[in-house]
Amino acid sequence: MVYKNRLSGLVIAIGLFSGSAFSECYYRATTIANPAAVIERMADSTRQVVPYNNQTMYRVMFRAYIKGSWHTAQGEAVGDNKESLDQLCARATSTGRISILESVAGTRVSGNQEMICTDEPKIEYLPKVSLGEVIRESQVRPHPIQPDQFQYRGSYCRWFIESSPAVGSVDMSQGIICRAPENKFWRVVDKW
Amino acid sequence: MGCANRPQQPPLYVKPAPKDSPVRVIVDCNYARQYTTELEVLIRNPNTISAEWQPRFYEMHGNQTPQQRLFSAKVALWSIRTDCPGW
Repeated sequence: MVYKNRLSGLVIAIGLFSGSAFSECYYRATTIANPAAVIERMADSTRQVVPYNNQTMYRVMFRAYIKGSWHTAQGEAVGDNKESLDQLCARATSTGRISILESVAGTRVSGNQEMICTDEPKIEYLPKVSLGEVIRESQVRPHPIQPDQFQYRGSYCRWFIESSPAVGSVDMSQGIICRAPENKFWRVVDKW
Repeated sequence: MGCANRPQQPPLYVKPAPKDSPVRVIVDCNYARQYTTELEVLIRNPNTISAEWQPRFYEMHGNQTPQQRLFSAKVALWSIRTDCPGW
């Protein structure tokens, strides 16, 4: 409710798919808000479910693509046994989305630093990837013209784009990353 | 009667894109098999190009070197794989 007041007009649609053997949530989401604050894509989510004062705490971490760069986001939700893990995940994700939008787009002034507790290594953006390299989705930039995931020979694939400044121009490469359905890592299968 | 004639698109055409932006290639999936075969041949040897593909690549990037043709062929091939399920 507090967040509704802070971000009136924010519309969040979340389709949630869960139950992966890798303890991750997969979802597609569209956010319409202030033009300065739009999550264009979410990726590389991980989740933790821990007991919390006779209740369950659901913590989700994910990467959000906002204003042309990736950011790490975290959201939490606490619930009792009446609430399903899917519902908790949706609430935690929603909290994380609002939090990262506020943080990146500056819709709220805050002196707090975000504390992220995880054993997972920090996901770094890779300015240049090589053919065959295994990466996370948020380590490359989404392709502006081909943003959607597609299936190719039983794998899920995405286009990406890579650009580096060259003398008098921008040297731009495009490529394809694919992952097996049960895999959270992507492989660079083509680049040109 | 009452139906405007739709402009007929060629089996492969390039969607207009802003300058310095990657091009978007739209392929009629009825041609996916034929084009996939031709493009895979072209990617293996970008030095030779058929009379059919010359104008298509010109539309994508103007006059091209063999390496640029290779890149255009990959854009076209992955566009087919993206838009045409099963290819």
